[in-house]
Amino acid sequence: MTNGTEEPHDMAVEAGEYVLGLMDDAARADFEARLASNPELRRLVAAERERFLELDLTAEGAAPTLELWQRIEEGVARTSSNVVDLQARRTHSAVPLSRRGFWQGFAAASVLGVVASSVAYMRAPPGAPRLVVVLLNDQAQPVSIVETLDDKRIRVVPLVNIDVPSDRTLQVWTLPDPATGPVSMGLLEAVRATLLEGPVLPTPRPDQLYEITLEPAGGSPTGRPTGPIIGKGYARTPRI
Amino acid sequence: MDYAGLVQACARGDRQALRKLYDEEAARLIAVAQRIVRRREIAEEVVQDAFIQIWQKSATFDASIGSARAWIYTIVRHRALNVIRDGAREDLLETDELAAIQDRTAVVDDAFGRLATESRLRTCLEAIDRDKRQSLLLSYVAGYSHGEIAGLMRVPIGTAKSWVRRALIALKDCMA
Repeated sequence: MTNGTEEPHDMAVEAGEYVLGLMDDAARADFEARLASNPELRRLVAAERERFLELDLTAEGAAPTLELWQRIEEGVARTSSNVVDLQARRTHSAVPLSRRGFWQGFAAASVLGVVASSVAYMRAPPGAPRLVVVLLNDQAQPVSIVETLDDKRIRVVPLVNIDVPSDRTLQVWTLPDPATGPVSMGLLEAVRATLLEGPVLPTPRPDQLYEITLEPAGGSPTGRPTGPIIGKGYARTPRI
Repeated sequence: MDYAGLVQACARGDRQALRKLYDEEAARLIAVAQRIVRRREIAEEVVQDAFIQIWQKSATFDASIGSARAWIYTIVRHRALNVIRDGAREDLLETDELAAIQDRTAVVDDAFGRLATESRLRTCLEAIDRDKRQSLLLSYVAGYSHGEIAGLMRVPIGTAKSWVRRALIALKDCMA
């Protein structure tokens, strides 16, 4: 290791052993931590993966049994981790916010001041919003604001451009009450500020969850969120 | 086949994209898993779990550490390796040792032999000493650990580690 000329080889060997699966758990965890911040290491891993892939591609297999796809579909429907957040909260309503939920709430609160005030300046609402929600994506970046106006109307103000395939649509949800489950507030026809009118619900309260998901065109076929979460956040009381 | 596009479509919740990946790769992925776990029904379970992971992890696919196709095969290999490390290769201990060795050697020789004659990987592997090449292939193709390579090749574990390392370096230099 002290010999500088050996270092490239050491890194390449490590990348190779990582791709072969020869590292023990501790070494692998350590390597993956370095991988996240070292582009050269990533390049070496990519090269090893592509190199050895050729051996995998020599494998020839008989067609899978018919049940295999069925089991995969069932597994996907059951576990779609990134898409069933609202449903999960419904069934685990007594469970406090997860660590991630806590940090997302924290991040939402920290950007709230900046974003909410600029919205107030940009467009005077037909009445001040009762509550403001900053919806964050899974990278904790703000993607949209929701303002609750009364017991059925909300205004959605996207903060970034959201790429929506032609056969998909953005749908806005809220969770007025864990026992009721998620309720659709409507579809965003375009990525711009939109006034939505949902069903009459209990008056929105602080900490109420709002979420935007990507759904098939026309909205979720099941009446519950089924697609990936574009953003979610908890309602806060603006200081107006 | 636009593998990266299909993985990205999975991340947007498009199940048809997952189905296309399945139709294209499932049979071969089962064969890859079977090289490691040996039993067909376990290989199918590996691929089942792997496809659910592909769906769940699709948003985290990162092209900077390899192509989407390599990413898919990596998920299957990791899953297969976890299965045998958890199950400690019961089959291998139970069966006749000589038969087991012949079986593993056959799997590795088959994968090596199927590389195209004009393949650069093949040319470079052929240039490596047989023991070192065999150690590398036992690891990648059959999912062998250093200890298992040492056992099968009847050498100390340090020798097995060193053989794999030298083979990795020789391969990288040859293919550079």
